[in-house]
Amino acid sequence: MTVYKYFLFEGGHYKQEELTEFVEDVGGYVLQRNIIGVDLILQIAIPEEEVENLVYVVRHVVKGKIKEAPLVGSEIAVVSPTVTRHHLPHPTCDIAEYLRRFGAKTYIIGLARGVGIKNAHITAEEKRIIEEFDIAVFVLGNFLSCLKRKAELLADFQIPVVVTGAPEVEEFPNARAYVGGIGRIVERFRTGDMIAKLDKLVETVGRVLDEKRRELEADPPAAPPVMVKAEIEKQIPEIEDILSPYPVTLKLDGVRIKLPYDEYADKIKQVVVGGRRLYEVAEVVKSRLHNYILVKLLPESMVGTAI
Amino acid sequence: MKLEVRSPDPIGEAAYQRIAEIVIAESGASGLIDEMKVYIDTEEPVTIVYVKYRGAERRRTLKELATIEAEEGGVRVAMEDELFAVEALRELWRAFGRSAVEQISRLEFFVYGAKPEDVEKVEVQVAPVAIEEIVGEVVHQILPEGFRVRKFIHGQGMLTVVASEDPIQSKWLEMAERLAKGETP
Repeated sequence: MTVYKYFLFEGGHYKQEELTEFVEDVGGYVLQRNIIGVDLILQIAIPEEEVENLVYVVRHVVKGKIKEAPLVGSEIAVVSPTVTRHHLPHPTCDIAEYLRRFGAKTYIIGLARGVGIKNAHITAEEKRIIEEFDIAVFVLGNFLSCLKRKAELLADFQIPVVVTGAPEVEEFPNARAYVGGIGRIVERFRTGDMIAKLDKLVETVGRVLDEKRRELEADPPAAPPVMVKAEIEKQIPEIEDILSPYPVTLKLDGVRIKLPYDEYADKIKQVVVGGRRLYEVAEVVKSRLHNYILVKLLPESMVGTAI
Repeated sequence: MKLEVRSPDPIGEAAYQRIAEIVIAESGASGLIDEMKVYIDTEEPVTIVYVKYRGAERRRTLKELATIEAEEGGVRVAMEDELFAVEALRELWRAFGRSAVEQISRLEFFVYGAKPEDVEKVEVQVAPVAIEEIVGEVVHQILPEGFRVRKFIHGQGMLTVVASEDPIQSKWLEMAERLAKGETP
């Protein structure tokens, strides 16, 4: 199966057709196109073996900037103990917004009763919602003893969990990684040392995502999610009418489609990807968020042959 | 303003020192608060906030709050701030009687048969409730959200809040008393 690498392109509109044509010619995809003033920002997925050529085209033909963006193609849940002023907008929104700058699609999820020490808990429903994402970032507080008790909330998660908190500790129970120095704060991340902590979080989340991608490579999804996204966008015209941002959101092992499940699930199941119907190579299920459609690609070993 | 945060956990202590500084600054209450002491012990678990604030029972004269002009038959009082108008009218009624005070517009009163120097001396209580509300909001923002069992102890220009997620214990109230006195809780 083709292994894709993800990049963020920044530059002008000048010769942008040459870049997009190159990407499509080598079997890559432009995942997202943002125009801010005179600047163009593209999220690009490109086969691993074409990376050098892409860098050449961007630097010498299009004269833009390109950087690898390991968070592109991932959907991340940023989980806060609640959604009150104690935790929002700082630091939860700052974290979600900063992860987005590196290409991740983030959702903020506030727990109903995540505050306190002994009283903090997470419901089975909340856990199921969080597990729809590729990775969860739990934004915890300032006291080590409090954090240790809250580690119990993270037990048995089926997805990797990254935790942030004020104390500096090497490891955190039930979490794949921990980033210190980001606890309960009530101000914007604006100073150099605060932004350095966010950079460390991005690096950590990127590393955990890479680990998960490598785990998936052992028995990869039957089709690349970028290809599934492109086919759904081509074959389902209603996608163009969706007002939500990123109507077809990439995940590491599938996509989230922001169309109502009851109305469109059957249509989505019939989408043809590489000569096969989507229902043959993926589970199409109802999301617990807004009745969206979740497409979870089956591994190659279950489908037989890769697309 | 004097701010002091104490905790057995030094990282938590530093974090809450910063939280308290910012919450006070952003609330605009730094001019109202003389002293704030915060004690947080997550092992107990308890958080105590002691606040000494000024202006709780502050009274100001009408001379400070209004423009007072002598006119034929009495004195015209034009309030500068609506916040104090209700209290000012109440005090004028008390001083000169209801029949002698007429409200001629939202912010203006006429006091029949009075002299300006008598009206200027009338004292008005400056919205103590509003100040308490601001201080209470500041304390609420600082307290850890999970500590929802709270005991409020009000005093003259003073508020102590003992907060926990367990029922409030008498030893925590004693700790609050020691904190207020400046002793180690």
